[in-house]
Formats: sequence, C-alpha cells, structure tokens
Amino acid sequence: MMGIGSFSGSYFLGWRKQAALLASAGLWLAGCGVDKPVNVERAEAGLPEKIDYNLHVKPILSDKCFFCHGPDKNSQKGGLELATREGAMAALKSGHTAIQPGDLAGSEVFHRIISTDESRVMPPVESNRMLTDREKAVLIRWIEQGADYKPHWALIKPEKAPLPEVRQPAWPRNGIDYFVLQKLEEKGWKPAPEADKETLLRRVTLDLTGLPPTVEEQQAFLNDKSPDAYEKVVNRLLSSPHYGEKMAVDWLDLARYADTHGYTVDRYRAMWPWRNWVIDAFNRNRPFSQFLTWQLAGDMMPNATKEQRLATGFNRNHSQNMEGGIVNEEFRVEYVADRTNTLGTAMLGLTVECARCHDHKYDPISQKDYYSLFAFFNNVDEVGQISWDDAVPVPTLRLPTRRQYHRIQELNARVRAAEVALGQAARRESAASPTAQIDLNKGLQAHFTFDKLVDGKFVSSVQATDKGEVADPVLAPGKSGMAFQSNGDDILKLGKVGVFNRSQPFTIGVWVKIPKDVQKAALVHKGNGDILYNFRGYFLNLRDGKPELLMAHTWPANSIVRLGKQVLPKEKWLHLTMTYDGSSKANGLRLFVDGAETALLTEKDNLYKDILFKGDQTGLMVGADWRGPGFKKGLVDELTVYNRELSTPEIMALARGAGAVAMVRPADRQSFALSQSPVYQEQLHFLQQLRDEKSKAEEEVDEVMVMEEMKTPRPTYLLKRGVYDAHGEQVSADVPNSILPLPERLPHNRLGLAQWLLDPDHPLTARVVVNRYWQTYFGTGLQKNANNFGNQGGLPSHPELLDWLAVTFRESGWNMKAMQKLIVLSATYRQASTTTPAIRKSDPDNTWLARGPGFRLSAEMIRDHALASSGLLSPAIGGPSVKPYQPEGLWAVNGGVYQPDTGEKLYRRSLYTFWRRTNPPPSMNTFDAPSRSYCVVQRQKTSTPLQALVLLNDPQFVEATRAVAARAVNASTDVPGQITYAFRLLACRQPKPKELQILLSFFEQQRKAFTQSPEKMKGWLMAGESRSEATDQAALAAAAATASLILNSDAFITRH
Amino acid sequence: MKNPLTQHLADTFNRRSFLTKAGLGFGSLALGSLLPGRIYSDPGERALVAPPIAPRAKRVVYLFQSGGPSQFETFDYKPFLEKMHGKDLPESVRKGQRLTGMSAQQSSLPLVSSPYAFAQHGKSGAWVSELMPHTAKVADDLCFVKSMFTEQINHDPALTFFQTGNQLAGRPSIGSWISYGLGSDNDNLPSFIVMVSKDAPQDQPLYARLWGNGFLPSKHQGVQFRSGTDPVLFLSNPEGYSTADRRYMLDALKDLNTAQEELYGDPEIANRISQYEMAFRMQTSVPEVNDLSDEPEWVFDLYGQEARNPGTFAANCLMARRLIERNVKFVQLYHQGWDQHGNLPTAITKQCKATDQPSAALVQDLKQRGLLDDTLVVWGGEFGRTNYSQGKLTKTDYGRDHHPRCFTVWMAGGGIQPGLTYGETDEFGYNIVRNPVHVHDFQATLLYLLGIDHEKLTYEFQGRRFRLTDVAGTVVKDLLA
Amino acid sequence: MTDWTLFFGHFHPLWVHLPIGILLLAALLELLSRYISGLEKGISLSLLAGAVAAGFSAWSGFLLASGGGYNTDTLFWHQWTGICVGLLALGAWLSRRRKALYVSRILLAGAVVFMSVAGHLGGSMTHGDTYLALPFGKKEAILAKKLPAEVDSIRLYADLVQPVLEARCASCHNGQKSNGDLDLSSEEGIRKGGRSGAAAVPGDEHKSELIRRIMLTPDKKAFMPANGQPPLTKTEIALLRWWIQSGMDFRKTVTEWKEPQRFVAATYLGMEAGEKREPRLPDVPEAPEAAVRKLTERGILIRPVKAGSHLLDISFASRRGTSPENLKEDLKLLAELKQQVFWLELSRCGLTDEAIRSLAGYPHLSRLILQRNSLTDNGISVLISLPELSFLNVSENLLTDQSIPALSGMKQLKKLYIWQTQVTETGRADLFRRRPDLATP
Repeated sequence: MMGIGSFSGSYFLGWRKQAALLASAGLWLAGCGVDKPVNVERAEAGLPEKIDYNLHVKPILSDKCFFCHGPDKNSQKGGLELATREGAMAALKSGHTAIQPGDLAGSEVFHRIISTDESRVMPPVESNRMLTDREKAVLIRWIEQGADYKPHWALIKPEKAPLPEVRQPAWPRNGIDYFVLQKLEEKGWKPAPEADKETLLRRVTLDLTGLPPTVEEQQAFLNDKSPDAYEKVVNRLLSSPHYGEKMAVDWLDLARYADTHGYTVDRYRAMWPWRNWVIDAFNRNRPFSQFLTWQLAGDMMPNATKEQRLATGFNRNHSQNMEGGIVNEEFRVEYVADRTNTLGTAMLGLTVECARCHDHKYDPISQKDYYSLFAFFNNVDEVGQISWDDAVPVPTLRLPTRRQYHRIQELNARVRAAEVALGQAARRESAASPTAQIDLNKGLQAHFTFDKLVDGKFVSSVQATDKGEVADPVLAPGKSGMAFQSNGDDILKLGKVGVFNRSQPFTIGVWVKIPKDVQKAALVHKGNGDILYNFRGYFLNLRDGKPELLMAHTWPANSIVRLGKQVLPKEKWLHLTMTYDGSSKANGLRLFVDGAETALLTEKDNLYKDILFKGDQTGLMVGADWRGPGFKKGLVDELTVYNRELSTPEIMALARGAGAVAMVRPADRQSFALSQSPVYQEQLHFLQQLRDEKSKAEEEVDEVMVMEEMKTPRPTYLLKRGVYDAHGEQVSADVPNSILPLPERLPHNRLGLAQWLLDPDHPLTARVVVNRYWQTYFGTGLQKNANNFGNQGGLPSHPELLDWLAVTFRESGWNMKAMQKLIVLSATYRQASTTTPAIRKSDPDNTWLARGPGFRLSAEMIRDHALASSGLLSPAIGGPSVKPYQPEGLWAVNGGVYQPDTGEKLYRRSLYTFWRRTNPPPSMNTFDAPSRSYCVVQRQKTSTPLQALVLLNDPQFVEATRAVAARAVNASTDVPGQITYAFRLLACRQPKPKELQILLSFFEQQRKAFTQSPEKMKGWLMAGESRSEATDQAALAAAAATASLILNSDAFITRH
Repeated sequence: MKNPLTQHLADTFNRRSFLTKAGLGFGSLALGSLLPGRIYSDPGERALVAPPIAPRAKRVVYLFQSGGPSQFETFDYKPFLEKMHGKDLPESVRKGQRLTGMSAQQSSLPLVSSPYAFAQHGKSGAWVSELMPHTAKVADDLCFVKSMFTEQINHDPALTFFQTGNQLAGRPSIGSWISYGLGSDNDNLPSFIVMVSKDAPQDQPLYARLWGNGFLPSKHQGVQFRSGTDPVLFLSNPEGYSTADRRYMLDALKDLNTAQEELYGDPEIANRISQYEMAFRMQTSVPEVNDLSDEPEWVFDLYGQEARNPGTFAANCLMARRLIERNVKFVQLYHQGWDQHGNLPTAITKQCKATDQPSAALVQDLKQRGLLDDTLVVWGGEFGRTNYSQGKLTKTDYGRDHHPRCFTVWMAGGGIQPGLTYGETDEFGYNIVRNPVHVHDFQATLLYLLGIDHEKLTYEFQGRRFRLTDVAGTVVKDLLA
Repeated sequence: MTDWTLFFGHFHPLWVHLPIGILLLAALLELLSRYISGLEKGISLSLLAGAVAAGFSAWSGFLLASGGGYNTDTLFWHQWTGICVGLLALGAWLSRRRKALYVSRILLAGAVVFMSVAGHLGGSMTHGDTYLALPFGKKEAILAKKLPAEVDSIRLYADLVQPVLEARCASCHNGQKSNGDLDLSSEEGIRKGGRSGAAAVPGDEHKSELIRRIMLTPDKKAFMPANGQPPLTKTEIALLRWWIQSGMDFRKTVTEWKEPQRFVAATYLGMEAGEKREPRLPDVPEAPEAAVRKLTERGILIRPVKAGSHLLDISFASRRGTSPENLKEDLKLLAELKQQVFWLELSRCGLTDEAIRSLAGYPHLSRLILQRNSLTDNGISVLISLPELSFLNVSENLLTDQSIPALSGMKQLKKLYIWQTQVTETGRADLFRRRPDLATP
C-alpha cells in the first residue's frame, strides 16, 4: 500500500480514480497472495527463527504424513512421496506439486493442511491424525524458507566435534562434561553439586558390578581422603569378576536368552555354556568388535576355534517350536526373521521388522532390504519343528569334557587302525576263489511272505514270535503268493524286527509295486511320526518318485540322506535292497534295484550320533508313517531282514532267484569271497564292536546350538506379505544402501556383515552401543528410544555428545571397560540426584542432566542386593542355571513341575535363575524383567502393588532381612548400633537422625509385640532354608522386621 | 476445548513420569495427600478420559475354552453330515485349504456326523446338543455366533491371536488394553483377573503372556488368582504376623519414606507409598472375595457341587460372579482340554459335563441379580474342529483336527442381542456362507460394547500407533441389542 | 412408434429453451426500446425466431409425448399452451411488421404468460409437482413431518413408510405420471407393481424390484431414484426393506406389529436404524467442581458417561459398609450434582428409606442400582418421581406387593429387578398384567 501512496503523490488524479486504483490493487494483492488462518499466524509467533528440517519438520512429516506418503512405495497415495526432496517437488498426476520452495500459493501441501473442507483436508479425517496449529505454522515457515531437506541425522557418519567452550571450565572432568555443561549454560542452569561419598559409592558399585558396597568398602572409601580415591574404587570394580555378570544381564535381554525353547511345549535347552562365554568375554574385556564379530560369524572365521563357534550361539537363542503338526517351513522362516529383527534392534537401532510385510512406512528400508538382510541368516541347516525327544536342535557344537575328549580320541585311533586292518584282510582274502554256495539263510533275521494271516497277523517264517500287525489288513495277489496292500494310513508294524544302531551292518530286501499316482511315501522304515522326532532311525522312502535312503539322529544336519538319480517305474514289481556297512558314512548306505546297484546322489553326509530312541525302540514299519505320507494302495511282498551286509552276488540271488547268479565281474566275486571268509568276518566283527563303543562314548557328550553355514546356500526369496511360502523375487545377501553400501572388499556373508557393522563409515553401530551404555547409567539414553534411531524415534538430547562418545569408543579400539570408566568418572555422572524443585518440575526426566541419575533398581539388582547385604549370596560365576524359591504349582498351568534347588544354589545371582519363557520367574517378572521371547534393549521401570507384596512377603526377601538382622545383632552390642549397621548394609549410608529415631521406636514396638505373643515370630524366623541362631529370638525377629522396613523404603529400592 | 474441570484437575497432576508409573490401574492419588478414594477423571491414569461411545457393558467375563471345542458336537447342528458319514471330504469343499501337519498327509479324510442328538430350545429356537442341557435352558439369553473364523491352525499362534490380536508374542492382551483404556472401577482389587481351571486335562498348555501387558505399562498385566493358599502371589504375611502388625509397619514405612522424600525430593516416593496402601487393601479384599462361606446353599445347587472345590471351573465361575459384583472390569477364565485329536466322544462328554452347568449358572445368576444387563459373558475357543475324522474312524471312536475356517462362540448380556443365532456355515460345516465374523471383528465389537472405538485406542511404541485390532476389525452392529 | 420419433422426441427439452430465451429477449428489447433508439429491427427478428423455435419445440414435444408415461391431463394443458405460445409469437411478429406496435406488444405479453404456464406444467411432468418446493426440508423426510408423541400411536405405513415414498419416488411414479407405469403413491399401485414386475413382494425383499433398484450404485442404469436424484439414505433403505420383509402391512400401528419395535423406536428416536447409532443423551450443564472434588475425596467413583457429555456415571462401590451418617453426608453432597447424575450405583450401602429420600427429583437419572439395602415400600415410593428412570434394580430389599401399582405406573421404566424381595408370585403376575412390556427377570 505504501508504494501506491507515493506513486499517486507525483501525478495528481481525481480522488475517484485513485480510490478505484487502490481498491483494485488491494484486490490484486489479496487475490494472488495467500491468507493464512488467524490461529496459524498466532502460532507462528512462537516459532524459532530458522526452521531446521531434522529438528522441527521431520518429526511432524514422519508422524503425520509418512503413513501414506512415506518411503513405502506401494502404499503411496496420489503418487506423492514427502520423504525425499525430489518426491516432494515432483509434478503429480493431479497436476499440482506438493511443495514449491518459497511459494506457498503453488504448494498444494499448504492448501491442503489449512483447508477446512473435510473432503480435502490433509491429513484426512479418517486417518485419526491431526495437525496442531503450531505444526501447521512450522510447515508453512519451512516452505517459505525454501523447504530444504537434510539426510536423517542417524544416517550421517558420526563426527568428533571439538569440545565446546564453557563459562565454568573448572567443573568438567572429561570430554562428556563440556557438552553437558554447554547445554546447561544455554538454559541458564547450574549443574548439581557432587553426590556425597556414600551415595556415590553405592551408585557406582551397583552400576559396575550389580552388587552393593560392603560396610568395610564404605568405611575404606570414607577414610580415603586422597583425590583419586574414587578412581581407585572404579578400577577395583572394573577388575572384579562381577563386572562381567552385570554387563551380561543387559546382553541376555538383548540376545533373548532363556533356558527353554518357548512356544507351547517350551521344554529345557542347555544354552548356559554360551552365557559363560559372554560373562568371560566381558571380564576379559574383549574389544566390542571381536565380541560382536564372533557372535555374528565366529564359525566363519579362518580355522575357527571352539570358543569362536560357541559365541555364535547368540543367533540360536530365539524360541523354537516343538508342537506336533506345525508347518515346518513356516517356523523355520520365523527363526530367520527373528535373527534379522534382533540385528535391526540391537546393532542398527532400527525397527527393520516393520519392513517384513511391506516397505518401511517411515525409514528408508524397503522390503527388499529386509530380505537381503534375511539372506545372511537363511543358510542354517535347521528345522522348524524340533525333535519331540529333547534332542538339541541342529546344527550343534559338541562340548566333550576333558575325560570324554581323550576317551573318544583314543577310540577313534583304534577304529581307524581296525579299518586299515580290515582293508588289508579284504585284499588278502578276496584273492581266494569262493568255494561255498550262496546261502541266503545266513544272518536272516526275519522273512515275511505276506501270503496268509494267522489270526489276523502276518508271521515271520524265520521266527514265529516276530509278528506283523496292522488295522484291517488287506491282501492282494503278490510277486509270489499273496502280498500286503497298504491303505496309506494304517501302519504295518513288524514287532521288534530291524532294530539296528549306526554301527551295525544290515540289509533289507523287499518286493514293491508302486501305484502310478504315488510320488511321495514311506515304504519301509524304522522311526516314529515323520518329522516329530526329526526322522530319528533309518528310512527307505519314495520322494518325487525316486528312492530315498535316510538315516538320522536329528535331521537335517545330523543325518545321511541319499536320493536315487532315476525315477522308479510304476505299476511294476521291483525288488529293492538297502544295505548298510555300519560306517556312519554316506557311501556305506547303498541301494540295489532288481539286484543291480543304482546310482545315488548324497545330499547329506554328517551322521555323528546314534539313530536309536532313548526309551523303548520302535521296530520296522511298512506302508505308512504316523502323520507322514502313506504308500496308498501300494503292494509289498517277500520282506527279508539280514543282520549283515549281503555281498553283491547274494543280493542278485535274493532279487533274481539263486540260479540266475553269474559271478562274472571280479568285484562280485571278491564281495562274495569276503562274505564267506571267516578271517574277514571276524575282523569286521571286531571293527563293529569298536565302532559301537565309540558311538556310545559320543552319545553322552553335551551339545550346544551354534550357527553353521550349509555347504550349498539356501536360495532366499522376498516373502510377499511376510508369508513363509509366498515367494517373490529371489534376493542375495546384502545390506541396506540407505545406511551404508557394502564395501567391495567385504564378502556377502555373515563375516562381511560383521565387518560392515564395524566399518568406520558406519553411521549407527557405535552410536547405538554407546547410547545403550549411557542408558544403564542415566536411566534413559541420550537418544530416548534406544530401539529406534529412525524417523519416528525422536532426536537425541545431546547429538554432539552422542557422536563424540561413538567416535571415542571406536577410536579406543572398541574398548568397553574404557568407555564405562569414561562415563562413571565424568562430573555429570557424579552429580547428586537431588535438585531444586524448579528444575525438577521443568525437567522431570532429567533429559538435560542438571542432576545425577536416580531410578528404581532393576529386578536382578534388587534380589542380588538383598542377598549380598544379608551375606547369603553365593559369588560363584557361570555354570548351569539354578532354581531358587518359587510358589508351588506355578508351572502346573503348562504341564511342568518346578523343583526348587537346595543349598548354595538358592542364593546364586539372579542372572543364573532358570528362565522359562512361558512362565518367567514371578518375582523378577513383577519387577519388569522381560519374557525373553524377543530382543529387548529397554526395560520399563514401573511401580505396582504386586512389587510391594514381593518385597514384603516373598520368602527370599523375608529370609534375607532375617540374615541382615543376625549380622547386625552380632556387629554391635547396643540397639542403635545394630540398627545403624543394618541400615548401612541395606542403604549403604549412615541413617539420618530422623530415620534412626523412626526405626528405633518401630524396633521397640515389634520386640514388645513379639515377646508378648511369640507366635508372631514364626514367619520371620522360619522363612527360607537357612536358619540364624540368636540368644534373644524376639530381638532377632524385631530386627528382621526393622530390616524389612528399611528394605521396603525408598533408600533401598531406589538407586540415588 | 477440554471441559475446564478436567483441564484444571489434569494440570495439577500431570507430572508425566509420576503418572506413567502410577498405581494398579485405578485413579492415581493426589500428590502429597494420601486420599483413600479416587480422583475424578484424571486423564493421566487412563488413555481415555471418558469412553467415546456410551458404554453398553461395564464388565466382561470371558470363559475361554482352550484347545478348540468341536462345534459339531455342541452348537452347530449339521444334519447333512449324517447322510455323508464315512464318505471322503470333497475337494470342492476344501478348496486347497492348508491342513495342520497332523492330518495333511492322511490319504483319506472321512466325514463324521455328531453322534449326539440336537434340539431347538427356548423361544429363539436355538440348536443345542444333548451334551449341553443347562446351556440349552438359558438359550434365550444367549447370542450364538456360528460364523467365527481365524487364520491360524496351531494352538500357540491361534491362542495368541485371539488374546492379543497378533499371532506372534509381544502384544498386550484384551484385558490389558481395557485396563489401559478405561482404568479400574474399584480400588482394592486388580482390574484384570485371570483364573485357570485345575480340573481340566493339561493337554494344550497356557502361558502368562496370554494375559500379559506386552508393551503397555506392567500395571495393566492380568493378575492370576490361584486356588492355593495365596490367590495372589505373596499375598499373606509371614506366618503369624497379623494384619494389625502389617498396618503398624506400613505406617512406620510411610513416615520413613516421607522423611526420605525430604532428603531426595523425588515425587516417585509418594507414588510408591500409594502402591503399598493398595497392597495392604488387597490383603483384606482378596481373601474376603475368596471366602465362599457367605453363599447360600442354593448357589451350590445352581453352579453344581463342584463349586465348593476351589480352582475347578465351577468354583471359578462362582468366583467370577463375586468379582463382577465388586466391579472388577475384566475376568478371564481358562478351561483346557478341548483338543480332541482322538477319542473325541468320551473326552468331549467329560469337557461338557465340567463346563455346561457352571457357564449357564453364571448367566442365570448374573441375570437375576440385574448384573447381566451391563456385564458381557463370552464362551468360546481359539478355533473349531474339522468335519472329517483325524486318525482311524471306527463305529464308536474318532478324532477331529483343528479347523480355522468356521467355529461357534456364544455371548450374553452387556448390550448383546439375546436369543439371536448369527451367521451360518455350509451344510458340510466347513465354510461360512453368511455373515463371517473375523477374530478382529469380534475384538472390535467387544471394545465397542465397553464404549471404546477400537481404531482410537492406540499406544505409541517403536514409532507406530499399535491397536488391539492391529489394522483390521469392524464392529458387528447386527449383534447389538 | 419408431425409434426415430422417440429419438427426435428426446430433443424436446433442448428445443423448449430456445423460444423461452428468444421471446424473453424480445420482451426485454421491447422494454428498452423506450430509452435506446434503433432496436426495432432486432425486436421483429427475435419475434420471428421465437415463433419458429416454438414451432419446432411443439413438434418435438408431440413426438416425445407419443412415448407415453405422462399424466394425460397435465400433458393436454402443456401441449396446447405450448402451441399458443408459437401462435402468439407469430401474431406479434406479423402485427409488428404492420407497425401495429401496441397490438404486437399485447400479443408478446400473452406469449410470455402462456410460455411460463407451459414451462411450469412441463417441469412438473418431468420432475414432479413438488419440484419447486423440494429443495427446502427434503433432508429427513420422516422427521420433518411432525410425528405423534406417543410411540404406540405411530402408524407404520402412513407415518413412516409413506413419507419416504412420497419424498423420493412419487414425483415420477404417481397417479398422473407413472414411469414404467408404476404408481408408488398409493397402496394399490404398490401392490400392482409396474412394467418390470412386482415392485414389492410382502415378506420377501429379494423378489421386490423396488428394493433391488434402490440398493444399486448410482452409476447403474436401473438405479432408482432416476435422473440424477440423490440415493435414499441408509435409514430409508433399511426402513423399506424391513417394512417389506415384515409383511408390508398398511394399517397397523407400530406397537401392534409383531416385529420387535427397536427398529421403529430407533427411527423415531433418530438412531440410524441400520447402524444402531447412539441414542441421543440429554445435554446438561457442567457439574459444580467443588462438589465433585469433595465427593471423590470421600472415595466415590465419578466418571463422565461419554466423552463430550457432562452426564455422570457414579458408583458408591468403594463406600460399601460405610456409616449411615457418612452415607447421609455423601447423599447430601450428591444432591448438588442432581442435574448431571445419569447412572447411579448404591448397592450394599446400608441405604434406609430415610436416606433415599434425597434422591427424589433427579431429572435425568436413568439407571439406578439399589441391590441389597434395607429399603421398604415407602422408600421405593420416592423413586416414582424420577422422570427418566429406565433401569431399576431393587433386588434383595424389603419390597412387598404394595409397591407393584406404583412401580408399574412408571411409564418410562424398561427393566425392573425385584429378585429376592418380599414380592409374591401374585404380585409378579399383577405387575405382568399391568405392564407386559416391562422386563422383570
């Protein structure tokens, strides 16, 4: 308007013309300029001058827009993607463009967000998302200021910024404090004074070892006036073995460690050897790079040691399903997905699991990225439905004790020697020309002709006691006489015939006629319930029309599988002969069709445990398998079972009748000669006994689940909607380029993946790990959501500090103990946790660190603290899990019986408490310990009445308070002294006069009450297994009640 | 603009950290003053200041029959199967649906009709089998939904799907969502209580995460009432230590904590004091509700004499009514043993005998006390069973495999239309032909009855607004009275 | 009637607009000719053009009319007035050429008058005679019409179904103009049906063409209501389907009808019949804050019934076993929230007749639970005064048959629980006789 005024001054126009000009100009301006709604304009006043994309705009766009306009390609509405600059500026089909930098009128986004018309407003009404006025103002100003996009802060490589200048250079003790102080000075706050010695000692001792300082340690620290007294304590704590246990607690949450398989059946699994390795790795202060690489790819290290392979147990901690009748592939895919999700949450701090069914709605992770990560973990020769008889799910690592190791080595040597001797005997004896005739009765264990039924059962013509039973038996004309016709469902069981272990040679001969439509069937086998026992035993099956020989302890990794190359002819009588030489080697298992050996393709050759069941053995079964594919309408005739390996001529005789044998080929002659030679047979028998002995020795060796790559990698496909069998395009192992493209030098396997994570250019790993360390000391990390560094995860309160810590950690050679030391020595950490009410009101969560950290003890710390203060704690490190007290009948709900341990095992650290996934330990569960069903990096800190009941009445804690009372009574003669000692045991500080006075009056009242009615003492004195002697029972009980009072007060429960 | 009163009260107690850790699901206590009562509409304490929809039900009793009860022998009458008994299930009916590993490889899938007679009952003429005589008597109060369906064919994922809206572990259960959304209506009992029958075969196990809080604050977790001495873990004091002694100790604890509060100035302390007060009140209120001596004789005739034996399904049904009378919001019962893969006739008779009378008695008892009107009772399992026999079909014996495609659930009271049979299955009892109701639809309807819009009750976790009904579920309005 | 005639006939609505435009222009020019000179040529030209156009439109109108389906007498008048317009216009033109200006102006005026009459008739034939009146108040046809206050005097057809048909169908399907020779404005027409079969088959909505057509999506050819009118609302569709499915009765009132009344009550109360929308809650001023705070401090649970409503759901559950004085004090305080109390639970509080007196006159109290107190008949009598009490549970109290007359007098009461009271079987029978609709389990 001003411009117009001056213009009219120089040329005098009629007032009427001037008014018209003014009106039209005003109209023009209003016409093409945009009028912002008044409430948005009011909100704009409060905005910062310069709008930053990462700080102000991204959180709004991500939360309110990305659901329909984010990186997820196939759910982008209107073809608009607001996540990238190009997407936002692109011309849309609708003819509009979402954002024109600096031009509100041209930006459709502007019109849509301020529109009041329900059909046009964005975000749409039905999305339940709404933009506040302030958010609209931010977007508008951002567009006006040129709508600049910046890459996501967490995907930019961390840089080590120089330490900022501060006005109080005296306060900072190390780099951390400069960053914290700068933010405090910005807000005009002063850091809190250092905490008093006792509080600081309890805090750092709990933080580094998970245990409280003893009264002696408290006294020593109080007396030590030297300036580096605190540092000496820190060094002592870092070198204590309990440091490893404390660090392991969080790592077990992350690795979803448990002592049972999970899902419905949830039976026992022994993974504690892996836990031992974790504790030891922390205590040995292995660099985090090594700690991570061994767990992700220990088995792929150049000539991997046993320890490196054990470390890979990390990726086998997920739940595994034993429920009968599940679809095997569905749950195998579930296990691989769990490993991928754990990698995402634990190492990348990104919610990659969201990209399992579609592109990630907020972060730049496509579904293809997800399945490229998936491919790294998809090459394990494992099974979805694990064996019903608690065999350790394969692949496994054998952990023989020293004694077992030597014994097996020795037996191995003798077996090898016997094999060599057998080879020599074979050469010697095969020269002799065979004189004897072929005798097919030698070693014949059973022979079923199936010609007739003797009161409903088939009878073996060798031994009448061996009978074949089947429901509604059906006979049909056979190869010779009658034959058995199977209906595919009812199993023909041949009693105890064919029970052989893996070191016993045997031969099975049978005539079969295969109907034309049968492609997959169990012909003859010794096993039980298809995959239910992971094919324990030996099988002669039909697979894709071809013969399959299978012998397994736990399929697929611990088994031999050989598949015939040609398809067997249908509707025609065939004679199949399966022979085994007892060598546990694939080429020891051979198949003869109509007397002639057929070529077999070896798919698996890794049988290292026996093929018999633990309890009662199932015998040979014909025609069907429980829950397996049946030999529907198939005919079986003349079944013969030998407890020796027939020679080739004998097989020919068996198949074609005695007359038709012509020993034309030298190999046949030799094979027959050996079968007759007593010297050779005797040597073979000796070898078999040795193998038997070795097999029994190997059976007792413990195993633990580890990762192991398959020889031929399994193809990985993108799974549409995450469904296990909906295969999309094939993908290969790769990492999301949006984070950091995989450097050429790194292989596309788990080893490459580990090195990629540790690459100096990697933006996430170091930040995620140091943020988790920060979280254990300050309650919340610098990045509040420790499991989400993506667009929705919010911004770190001190970005520069987080980067500084990350780079420092990497440059220190990933030295874990050094990083813990750096944090606990900082002035920020050493502040008192009390502050002025004003600061507490404006910063309730201590985000700006104007005071020391103060929050409730974790579940493990509470129990360990009580046991340590009472002196009951057993400091033993490592070993199998233990079962402390637990209310009886708790496991009845899923068919288990909880048998608590006795003696020292009741008082082990909570880290070792037996963890059943479907029924976690109740007291720990009440204090927010996770169920360990999936990767958890952040625990809740709640306060509920059930927690009160645990601390008041749980026998474990009542017993602990009595033990504290006993120690206190012995420590001093006068009551105030005893109570002070108890207080120092539990609160690790001297009681304030007011506190002491409350405790004293309570003690006196309780002692009077106990003396008057002694029956009140029973609960206090008899709790738990241990007992405490005391001359004055009433005084002891009163002291116990007082100790319980302290234990339930804030001084104990909260770590200040 | 929020109504001023709520805003005023909200301002005085909105310390975020304090509230997220506050007490067991009931209105949190004012800071500083230890009020025994409750504060009016304190938003911090529950997600919804008030239910967005006028609630038709205020409490829920969920009688969950774990294992998948066979609908053919109980409520879904299929006369056509009698003609087809023994013949193979035609492929046209199955349409390539995946079967569980237990019967997928069977060469033949023989159809089996119910050996038990069916009859129509009450004015509504609902079909009920002879195995459920008592339920038949109250048929006019019930609404049978014959067209429920789910996607899962195995127990673990199906159970988890029904209880938490997602097949994999990690999500909160229905009871937790309701406690999170609407808080509690009483201040001396948990708002979400779970009871598992001890008189049921333990074939398919249950596990704590089915009534877990998932990512919600742990105060919304279901509290299991056990039939042993301590219905709630560690409820009773050390032997001999009386309630009066405990009261004296808690007063001393209050003084000690208040002294420490002056020392540390941490608001968390006041909240913990209120937890101890609630724990103390539970020490009296739980045994009181557990003690059946004040129940007249006819109650045990109604529920069955088994109701005297604590921990049985009958006793748990009686206990459920007593908890509903004391305004507990969500009572979840589990009765296992319905997983009849084999010898179905003998086993299902036992199961019906244990659950029929108590379930019907509960509906009748609530109705006569005027509680059924705003209490929703639900009876059902996690999936149905197949119309063909799993394993050997003989004259007297057979089994049925799991079947997700169609099964029956009944509901009563709480705003549900009584005397209605909703949805239909085809004559084979294999597919649904009318009004299918998905598990998410059932959950959405349940929340709607309590006054909750299932799309609006969300919790922000891992950057996503999670819902009980995940991304699906529509309210089945035809079921509403 | 060949296709061609119908084809050209369809141009009639197009042609009709030409004479209207031109003749009005002519009239306008006639008026302006007083101020601005030189317009004579234009006037005569437009008169001629108007006449010719009128001729063509009459011709095409004739062809269209032969297609039938129009109300005969409206058509007759429309036809002839249309032809007169043409003649008058021609006359005006001729008289102008002979400079008889005054005569030409009169004829022109006549033409304009006739044209408006013809136009109106034409419009009402195509869009129904309420065509002009339609836009105001068509929205909720049912509720616009004043419904009788009492539910049981609502006539099913006359008060609910007929207004819908009237508003939505009758414009093209009435006595005069029955497209597809279907007349939906009367009982006979509905029962007779039209050219494409039975419009409505009692008891079977699937066979009713009317239902099929109104449920199609607007893009379908057979969709009704035709020519671009908005589709029926969900309530209207649900009402028609339910009316036909339940036997299509024309006489009975709502309550006589055997179908449960919830559907009609829902419609009458404004609930969406199909979706069972929420019943409208009475809106009340906000509760006084001090009273609320005091009550909650005394341990009473107070909650809003529904977001956005000040009505309160109050429970004395945690006050069970409190002393009579405390209870009296509570109830005195509660009286301050008299306006807002909607649901009230006072079971097991040791309530006496004397204490309950304070509940008298609660205007919006809808649900009251008084289970297991020590109330007698005169205590119960206080409750008669509650105008909106719909749910009352007085079980386990000392009630006798004496209260039955008073209780059954409470018209708005829907559910009454008198379990384990002294009411005898005869008392119950008496109650049932007086109030068969009252549910007393």
